[in-house]
Amino acid sequence: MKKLLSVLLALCMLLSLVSVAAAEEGRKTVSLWYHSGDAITDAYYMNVFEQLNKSQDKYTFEYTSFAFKDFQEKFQMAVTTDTMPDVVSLGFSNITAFTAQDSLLELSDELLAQVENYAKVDVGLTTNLRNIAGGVLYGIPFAYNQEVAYVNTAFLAEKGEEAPRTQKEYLALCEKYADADNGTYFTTLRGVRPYDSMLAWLFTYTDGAGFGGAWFDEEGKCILSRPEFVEAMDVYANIYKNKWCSGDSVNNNYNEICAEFDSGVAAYLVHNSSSNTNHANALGADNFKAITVLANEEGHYFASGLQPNVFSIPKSSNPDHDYSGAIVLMNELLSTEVDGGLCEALGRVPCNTEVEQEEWYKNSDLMMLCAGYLTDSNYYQILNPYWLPDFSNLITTDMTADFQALLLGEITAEECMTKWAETIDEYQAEYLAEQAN
Amino acid sequence: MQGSKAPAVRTVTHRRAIRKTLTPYLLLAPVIIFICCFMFWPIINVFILSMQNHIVTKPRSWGYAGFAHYIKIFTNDAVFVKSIYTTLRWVLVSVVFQCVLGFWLAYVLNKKFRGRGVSRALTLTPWAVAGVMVGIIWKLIMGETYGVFNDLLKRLGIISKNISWFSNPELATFSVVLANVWRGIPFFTLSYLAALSSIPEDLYESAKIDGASAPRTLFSITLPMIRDTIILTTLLRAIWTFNAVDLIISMTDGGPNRGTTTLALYIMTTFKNKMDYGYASALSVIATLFMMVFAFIYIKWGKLGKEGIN
Amino acid sequence: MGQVGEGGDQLMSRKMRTHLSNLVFRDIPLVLFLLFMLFPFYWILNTALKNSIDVISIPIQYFPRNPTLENFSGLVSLGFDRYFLNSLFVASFTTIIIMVLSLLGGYAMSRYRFKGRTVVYIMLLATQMLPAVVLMIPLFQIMNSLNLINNLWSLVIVCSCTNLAYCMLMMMGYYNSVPVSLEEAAQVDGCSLMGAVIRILIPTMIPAIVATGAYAFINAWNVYVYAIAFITDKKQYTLPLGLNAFQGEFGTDYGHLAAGCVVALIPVLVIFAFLQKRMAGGATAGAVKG
Repeated sequence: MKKLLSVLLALCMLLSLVSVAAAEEGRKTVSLWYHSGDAITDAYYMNVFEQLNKSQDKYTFEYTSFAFKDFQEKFQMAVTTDTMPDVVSLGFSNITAFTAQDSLLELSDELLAQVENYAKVDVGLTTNLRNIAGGVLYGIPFAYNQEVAYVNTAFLAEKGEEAPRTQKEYLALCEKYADADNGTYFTTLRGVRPYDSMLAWLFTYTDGAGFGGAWFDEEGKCILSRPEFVEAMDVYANIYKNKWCSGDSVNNNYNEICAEFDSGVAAYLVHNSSSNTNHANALGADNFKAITVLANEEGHYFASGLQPNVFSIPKSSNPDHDYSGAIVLMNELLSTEVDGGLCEALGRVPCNTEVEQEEWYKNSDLMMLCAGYLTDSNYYQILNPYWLPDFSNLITTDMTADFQALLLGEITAEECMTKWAETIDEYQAEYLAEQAN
Repeated sequence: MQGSKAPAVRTVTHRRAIRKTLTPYLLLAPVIIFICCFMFWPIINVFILSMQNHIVTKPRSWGYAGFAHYIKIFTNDAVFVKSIYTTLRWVLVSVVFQCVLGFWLAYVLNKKFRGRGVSRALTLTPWAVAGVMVGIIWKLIMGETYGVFNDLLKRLGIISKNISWFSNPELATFSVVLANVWRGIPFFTLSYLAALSSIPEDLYESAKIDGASAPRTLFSITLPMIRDTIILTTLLRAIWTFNAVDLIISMTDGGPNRGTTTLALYIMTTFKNKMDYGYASALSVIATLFMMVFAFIYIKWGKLGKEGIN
Repeated sequence: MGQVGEGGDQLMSRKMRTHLSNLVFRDIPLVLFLLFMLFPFYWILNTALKNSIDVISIPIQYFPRNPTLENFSGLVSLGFDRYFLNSLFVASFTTIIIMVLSLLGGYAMSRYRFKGRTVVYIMLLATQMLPAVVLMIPLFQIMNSLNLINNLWSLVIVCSCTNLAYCMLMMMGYYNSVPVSLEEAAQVDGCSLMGAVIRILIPTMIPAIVATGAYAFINAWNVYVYAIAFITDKKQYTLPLGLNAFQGEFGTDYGHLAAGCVVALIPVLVIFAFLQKRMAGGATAGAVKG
């Protein structure tokens, strides 16, 4: 008992010593909250911030990161209590949630003029951002992930097959190499949060119903309930129902489909460019490659459009708040070295066009592939309606549940697609009514 | 001897009578103050919010909603109805298995055998594993193609090809319940070990003299003596299991097709994904009321506080 | 685990039959059960010693083919030593506060029938029943106004609040199972109430105290939901938050996660190992006799 008490006392003293941070005299603290931390990102940014702090003495820059699954509630709580930091990073799908609460600063042209590195950012990316926010820019993009397909080239070589380029070829291979008894398959299927791969399939199969990647027809109605989309969904769901992928697929999230690909259970994976390093580690760089997503008979292929991560400035409740520190930090983070370094470390596609001149970029097959998408006239961006505040919730919760119900045979494809189309129409009507006010 | 006892008893009773009025309040004061300080406002806040429209992403729609949420819950929410069944299944199966198996383990660990100390320390670890890890490790174990559970079953010849343990709501429920039972047994074991130790040895001795068999002793002496503990632990564990979502999120994210979405998980997704604080608060209030009613019925039925052998 | 044989003058076959039935109906299920309890723990250890490729490799490696201690050594550079101390801080103080309060409160609930007892019951149960997710924001606001955000004391307070009900009701249950005659006998022998409680009652309740304390300690050790809400500064992270960092947006680092988990388990194991003797015991034997 005595020992325990003395240990506790020592702990208290230690902790009180440790929690006293050395105060920097005269410097202003500017903090960044990064929304998707992991070991590599954290190490990289800690280094960057250390350099930044040494190179000038006006500001002290601080870096805090959060696990991706928790950042939304942390940011939300900070908004509610007005304790947001100076700069935050956000995913494309999160922006609307915060702009709806008017918690991000509008990046006016005057402000953007102070961010030198903004000029280097590809215009197409900022167009997308303005489109979901009614023409206003709320964040400057720094990196994005491109939807790609991965194939196990060793498997293909062994079987004497070519990598599938069209959906027809893909389906044939799925059927041929599905071996449920031995637990090996040609493909993986993502059942939890399936939206990107599923939408890519649907839009490619139907060639976008002629609307070039938009979700709405000329009358503003959602096109998902059209017969061709229902048919496309049926074909996609049959991959699971025919047992051309593992039974677990209905419950698989990105971790599991990557695990199936990495362990050799499946030879084809649709995911985004960020998992490239994992596959290289697991299979060996020579045994797999990244290719473009499947195309349809016309040679067109659709995938979710450029949806970059952005840096934003939270709006302060104080109208006279001085944002200069935030602007300086944002500028630094968007610079060629910092942005390029991050993308190199993580395998993301950089938004700073100057990075494309760097050696690592030009030598990276993956980067070349992603860049190739943008110049290919056969590639169409799916323009996901992220301007709808409920869209994010729809694709994470309702779409997952309905898609799983479809795979399990509890609802038909027609019921599923009609439900989604009607919900989207509802949301869109609500949005337009809001805009009119 | 007898004569001197009488006045002493009277004095003790008399002292108790005065103390009776003040002592419990004094003893409970720190507890009450502590809890009220920090929990009072949050709890009231939930009730207030349940009567408001408060979708975070739609500030223009904020305002008083009265009982609109409650009406919607009971008339127009299929997910809510489904989650009730799921929750009942989740709580009942988990707690029953945890209780029975936990008791068995406590019974065994109460007897003397070599390696008892090590066994005790080791078998109580599942409870101490971080919540996020329990889900992840069990998902790795139960995975269809890379999971060791299937591998073991195949090696033992019980199955010939891999089973997908998450491919439909029933199997998915089995998987999460299995993980939950694994995690919860040590809690019961520890509580029962403590309770078993309070049973006086002489009760067992007299039972043996009377020639009672082991099962008879178990049911007539052991269980009645620890009835309060059984009732309390199962009740508290049921409440805890009702609210535990970390395991389900890690393993199935509430799927497939909301097959493992308990009411607590539904509340969480409404709060976090849909950002509908008003509706989530209303759901929480309903959930709490359910649990209150259940708790009171259960306590009354179990006759808490009146235990002992007649 | 051997049960005493039924006397030396029994026939050999009956003894053998007893042993056989013991084997089949008690020992084998018990071994299977213990394996069930221990296997996942073994699997965590196994995973911690593998590099990320081997974790999901097929055929499944029951022993790591390329065992590595890198997952463990990597933890220190990530700050796990600090997280460890922080967790210890939160868990220790929570346990102390809860034990003191529930010893007092449980006694009151058990030994006295007083007005408002039901109200206290309801209040205690209510704090347990509301899901953490809806309580988080108002609690955050309270802690923010007390300037306790990023301070471990906020966790201590909230952990104590949320676990106090359990522990108090559990202590009440344990008090209930100790006959009142113990204290009354002690008081008859001349002890004051306080003295009776401390000198007689509490020693018989050591296993109960250990169980309740263990419960409070483990819950505070593993607290996650509130830790996410209140702690942002990496220097104040507790172990569950540290483990969280291994679940990235596009991949989970199983090896490091398992290693971190093992490290988080060690103190609990050590504490259990030391206290396991106190978890059971026949301290009430003979106390009421005569």
